[in-house]
Formats: sequence, structure tokens, C-alpha cells
Amino acid sequence: MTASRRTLVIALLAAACVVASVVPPIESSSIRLDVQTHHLAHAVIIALGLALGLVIASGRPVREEQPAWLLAALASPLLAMLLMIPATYDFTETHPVLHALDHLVFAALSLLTAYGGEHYLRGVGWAAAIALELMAVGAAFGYGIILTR
Amino acid sequence: MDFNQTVLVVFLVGSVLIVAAMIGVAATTRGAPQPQSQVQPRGYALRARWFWALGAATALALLISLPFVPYPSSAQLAGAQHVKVTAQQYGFVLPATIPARTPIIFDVTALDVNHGFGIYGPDNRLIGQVQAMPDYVNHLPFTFSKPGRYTVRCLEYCGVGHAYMQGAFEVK
Amino acid sequence: MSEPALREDAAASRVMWIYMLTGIAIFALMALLGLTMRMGQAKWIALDPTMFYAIMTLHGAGMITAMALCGMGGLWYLMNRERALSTLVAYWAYALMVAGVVAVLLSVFPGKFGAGWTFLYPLPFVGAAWPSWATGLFLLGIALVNIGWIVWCTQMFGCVVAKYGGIRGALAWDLVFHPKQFAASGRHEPPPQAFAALVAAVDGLLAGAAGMLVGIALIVHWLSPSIPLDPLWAKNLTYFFGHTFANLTIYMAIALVYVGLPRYANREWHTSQVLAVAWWGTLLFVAFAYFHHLYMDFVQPRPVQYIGEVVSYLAAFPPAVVTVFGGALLIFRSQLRWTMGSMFMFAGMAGWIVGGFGAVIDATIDINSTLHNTLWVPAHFHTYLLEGVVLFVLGWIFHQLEERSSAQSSPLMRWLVALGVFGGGAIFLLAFYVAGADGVPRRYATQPPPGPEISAWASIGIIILLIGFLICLVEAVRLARLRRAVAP
Repeated sequence: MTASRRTLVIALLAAACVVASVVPPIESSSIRLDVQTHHLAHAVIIALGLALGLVIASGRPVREEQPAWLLAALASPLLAMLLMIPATYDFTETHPVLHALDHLVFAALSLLTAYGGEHYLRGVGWAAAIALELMAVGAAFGYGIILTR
Repeated sequence: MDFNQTVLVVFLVGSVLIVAAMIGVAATTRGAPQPQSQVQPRGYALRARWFWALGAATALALLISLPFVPYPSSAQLAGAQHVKVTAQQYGFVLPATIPARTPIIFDVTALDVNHGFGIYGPDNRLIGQVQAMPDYVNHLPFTFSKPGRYTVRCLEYCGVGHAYMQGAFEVK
Repeated sequence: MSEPALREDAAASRVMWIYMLTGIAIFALMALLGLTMRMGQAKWIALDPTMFYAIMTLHGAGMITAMALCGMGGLWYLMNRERALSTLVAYWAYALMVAGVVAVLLSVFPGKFGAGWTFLYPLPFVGAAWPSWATGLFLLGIALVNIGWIVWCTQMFGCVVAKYGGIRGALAWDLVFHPKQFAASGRHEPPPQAFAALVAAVDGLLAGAAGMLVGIALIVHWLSPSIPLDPLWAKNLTYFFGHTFANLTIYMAIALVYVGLPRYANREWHTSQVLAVAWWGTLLFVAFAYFHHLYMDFVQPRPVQYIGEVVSYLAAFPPAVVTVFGGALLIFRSQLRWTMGSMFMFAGMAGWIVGGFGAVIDATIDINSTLHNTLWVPAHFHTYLLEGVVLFVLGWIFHQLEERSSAQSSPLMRWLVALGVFGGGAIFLLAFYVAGADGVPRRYATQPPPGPEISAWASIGIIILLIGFLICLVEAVRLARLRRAVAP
């Protein structure tokens, strides 16, 4: 990827992150999503944040272990999952600004997951990204919901 | 010899053969040594045969065993007599009698935690089971050929009273 | 083509010993707890159910962590010789796991948490005979163990990807599909232990993510009980995490045999195309084998059940056809030096296959109907953990002690240990299998007949086994002292 194309991709992904985080809560504040859809919507924002982190990190492949970045790569997905508390969804849906902020935090933590992983050691960002995305999607099938009800 | 005992015998015979083969290999280290370059080609040829033999045995075992899954077909679900079973720490709610030689579907669920619904025959042998889960209903098809008193035991760890969680029914 | 020089350093050696000795110490404590449970079931001692299940919970969680610590330390040491690894990260993982073990320990003694290592939702929260803080502390402990595991897996993943040229290189893709170009390029194929590291890291990260998801959900539910969880979802995630984590311990420990056994046989164990493909299989099969835990959940999607049986059967191929067969071929007509180390490593492979055979039988859906959650289940995994993983680890420890002291044990000592560890082990394990085939349920503090009589035999077996391990310990200490005397 050339430098200018990379900058373009970063700009597009960053814009997509912000739009996906901010627009739905503000524009459709009257819509109430079920927990499953809400989880999946978060998974989309997280995917965008992860992609952004991977693209930003792709410029400088790291070949020696940078342990401090490992902390970022592991703590961020943990925090992101801890923040996805289904019980808060009703509350955030009636507070659009808070809701948008909540989403931006998800995007930022996802970015840090992928970026931190790649800065710890090349390739790790991808592994951390896949793990976080799987957790985010996986949550939609039983965290805060019972599928038979 | 019932089914499980046959399984045990097959396992024990197989295990003895495995251990014997390994001891046999170990014993070759006492004899005249051969260089690795000489042993390897023969070993790889044997490995290829072993692979195909094991593959054939596995395919056969799958072909034989997969048709016998205990899961109900939709025809069974529609045509059988349904018996409701509810598990709860530490007991079962189920009918006292169940007709013999009649296709039954046990509709098994739980009110609190995961339990197991394990059916033991009059001779105290385990003959079938299904999990009892909260929020889900598992359908266990069964036809009892022998009348008598059957015991039900919990087969999923469910708390301190787990070992005492029992039920019973009479097949008439 | 010359082999790259292997790195040896004291700091790495220290990491290995700290992991392994911690693992062995936890193993010893957990073995005593196991004996306590079997003696309680045999009615030799009075053990009230609350205490029995608290012990059972600790025994299960502790043993798997102990096996994992041994495998992690050993594989870390082997991979550090291939590519320098940060010891700091290794100590982070270690500290997290030990903190987790301490939390689990406190939740059980004095907390009496007793929902089993499986902590199947909603059991930790419903009808509990223990205080709520014990549930929280246990869940936190498991989460810490899991985070430590994830740290280790992440480091291993980064290591193999960086060393061998991405995932493709670590899989030895080009060796398998373009062998001529690969040979011409002058690249080195990953050694056998690197495949163990790759599989442990990749499947370990997947399992870790599943464990983290269900762990967070359970902790949040503990804090806020109104948040419901789907019981089937929780069960899938719990077994994916637990089964995979436990299963991977043997694939980590076998790496020690890949490196250790050839030294005794004075032969070479190299990566071949077949070995690479076998590990690809393991990578795939280990990730899906946990399905066999849910055969008796009839609501689980039907195809998943069939995949579970097929994958569980196929999982036997890599060890049976490649690794253990390769191990047997390695020593066939060799001038193998029989020492404690080589004896344990070779015997461990037999234990692995026997335990695997028991597992494959139970992984047959039809047979599972009458074996699931009977003592057959602990029978098979005790076989490949006790007479597999533990032997690989002991074999490696003795290998290190023998090499550094240039001494070995007398034949009499070896026979005594073999009698105790294999003889006692056989009695102990046989009791599990016989009781399982008789339909005696697992996890029963009080067993229906013939459970108690069989438990008495099991207890006798464990006592003989422990005597064997005690002799081992004495012998290991003797060799370790010799090593110190030899060292300048």
C-alpha cells in the first residue's frame, strides 16, 4: 500500500468509525433495539475500530517484543467486553450523547487492541483483533438474552 | 454381557494390545541396533499401512455408530406419547407409571440449574440419559420393553445434594 | 544446510524451573485432594458433601492449571532457544496464573465454593451452600488464570509468527506444497516443538476468548443478577474453554518428548511433511472436539453433534499415526539409554494412546448415552493426564537432572518407580473404567453400589501411585544435589 493510499484508507475507516458510533444513537434515538441486535451493532463498530488499528499499525512492522504494548492489546479487549453490559442498553438508548460516547470508547479500545497487538509483535494485532471480534459477536447469542424466550 | 460391559472389554483388550506393542518396541533396544537411516524407510511403509487401516476402521465405526444416535426424529416426536419430566434441586417430577412397549418421548427440563436425567433399569444398569436444562426442553425418545421399577438419577453435577437426587417410575 | 545455533541461557532456564516446579507442587497437593475424595467415596473417612464438592472443584481447576503451568514453562523454554523471548512477559503470565490459583484456593478454603471447575451457569448462583463472595472470588480466580494463559499464548503466537515467516511459515505450508522450492530457498522448517507452540497458541487464544466472554458474563451476572444468560450458550463456551485448555496440555507437553527422547536414542526427530500435516489436523480438531461434551444436550444443533463425533475420531490420527508412531519408530532398534527420563517419556506415549482410546469410545454418540457423566469420563482423562502429561513432564525434569548431573538412577530405583507409578496407576485407573461401565455416576460424594467398593480399590491404587511419586521425588532431589556438586 502506498503512503497516500494508506492515509486515505485510514481517513475513510476513521470516518466510518465515527459515523457508525455517533449517527445511529443520535439519529434514531427513538428506536429501541433488542439486546441481540444491539450487541451485533457494537460488533460492527468494534470491527471498524480493529480495522483502523491494523491499518495504522501496518506502517511499522515490529520485530522485537515490546511488552508494554502487550498490556494495551490485552487490557483493551477486556475493557471493551466489560463495557458491553446488556443492562445498560436501555439507559444509553434514552441518552443519545452518552450512547454515542459509549460507542466511541468501543471504537477507541478496538483500535488500541489491534494497534497495541501489532506494536507488541507483528501478527499479534491480528490475533487480538479476531479474538475481540469473536467475543463481541459471540455475546449476541446469550449474554443478556435467553434464545428460547 | 450388557452393552457397557462389552465396551469395557473392547477397551481393555485394545489397551493391553497398545501397551504390549509399546513394550515390544521398547524391548528392541536390547537387541542389535540398526541405524536410523535403515529403520526409517521400513517404518514409514508400515506407517502408511497403519494410516489406511486406522482410516478404514474409523470410517467403519462412524458408519456403524452414527445411525444409532439417540436423538428423536420429527416422526417420533409427532407419534409418541409425551411424558413431562421436571428436574429441580434435588428431585424429579415425573409420572409414577409409564406404559411398556409404547414409544415414549420424555420432555425434560429443569427449573433451576443443569441436571441430568439418567434412567437405570430394574437391574440397576444405566440405559439412557439426557440433560435437563433450565429454559430448554430436551426430547428423549425411549421404548421400554421390560416392565419393572426404574430409577432415575441426576447425571449432571447440580450442587451438594447431587448424589441424592433420585426419582423412580414403574413400567407396566 | 547447517542448523542454527540454539540459545541457552540461565534466565530462560529459571523461567522453566519456576513454572514446572510450581506446577508439580500444585499437582502434588491436588493428588492428595484426589485421594481424599476417593477415600470419602470408599467410606474410609467421613467427608460431608459440602467439603467433598469444594475439594472436587479445587482438584479439577487446580490440576488443569498445574498441567498447563508445566507445559507452558517447558514449551516456553524450548521456544526461547529458537527465538529470544521476553522473560518479563513470561513472569507476567506466571504471576497472573498464580494469583488466579490463590484466588481459587481462597474461594474453596475457607469459602467452600463447590460448583465444580465447570461452574456451569447458573449453578454458581443457585442453591449455593457457599457465600456469594466465594463465587465472585472463584470467578475472578479463573479469569486471572485465563488471562495469564492468554498472555502466554499471545507471546507464543508472536514468537512462531515472527520466527518462521508468518502463519504460513509457522505451518510449514511451503514445505508441504512446494518442497523443492523450500529446500532451494535455504529456509529452515520449524522444528516439531514449534508446531506444538503454534497449536497451543492459536487454539489457546480461541479457547481463551471463549473463557473470557463467559467469564465476564458470569462476573457481571454475579454483580447484577438481573442480567440473564442463556444456559446453552454458557455451557458451550464453558466447555470450549475448559476442554480445549485441558486438551492442549498434552500437546504442549509432547514438545518436551520431541526434544528429549531423541537425545536418549541418539537419533533425530525432524519435521517432515507428514508431521506438519498432522499438526494442521490437530489445530483443526482440537478447536471442535469440545462438541462431544454436549451430546446429551439434545437441543444442540444436530449437525454439531455429528461433527463432534467425526472430529473426535479424527483427533486420534495425529498422535496415533504420526507422533506416537514416530516416537516408537525413533527408539525401534536404537541404542536407547533407559533412564528415568526416557522411561517416563516413552511410557507417557502409551498412556496418551490408551487414554485417547477411552476418549474416542466415549466420543461415540450412541455409547455416550450410557457413559456420559459416569466415572468413564474421569477414567479417560486421568489416563492421559496422569499417565501422559505428568509422565512427559517428569521425563523432561529427569532428563534435565540427568544431563546436568551426568548421573542416572539405578535399575532397581527405576523398577520401584515403575511399579508404583504404572502399577498403582493401573489399579487407580481401572477402578474408574470398571465403575464407569457399571454406570456409577461421576461427581457423587456418596455413590450407589458398586461405587464404594471400587473406590476402595482406587484409593489403594492412588496410595501405591503416590509411593512411586515419593520415590521419584527422593531420586530427583538426589540428582539435583549431584548437579550442584558437579557445577563449578
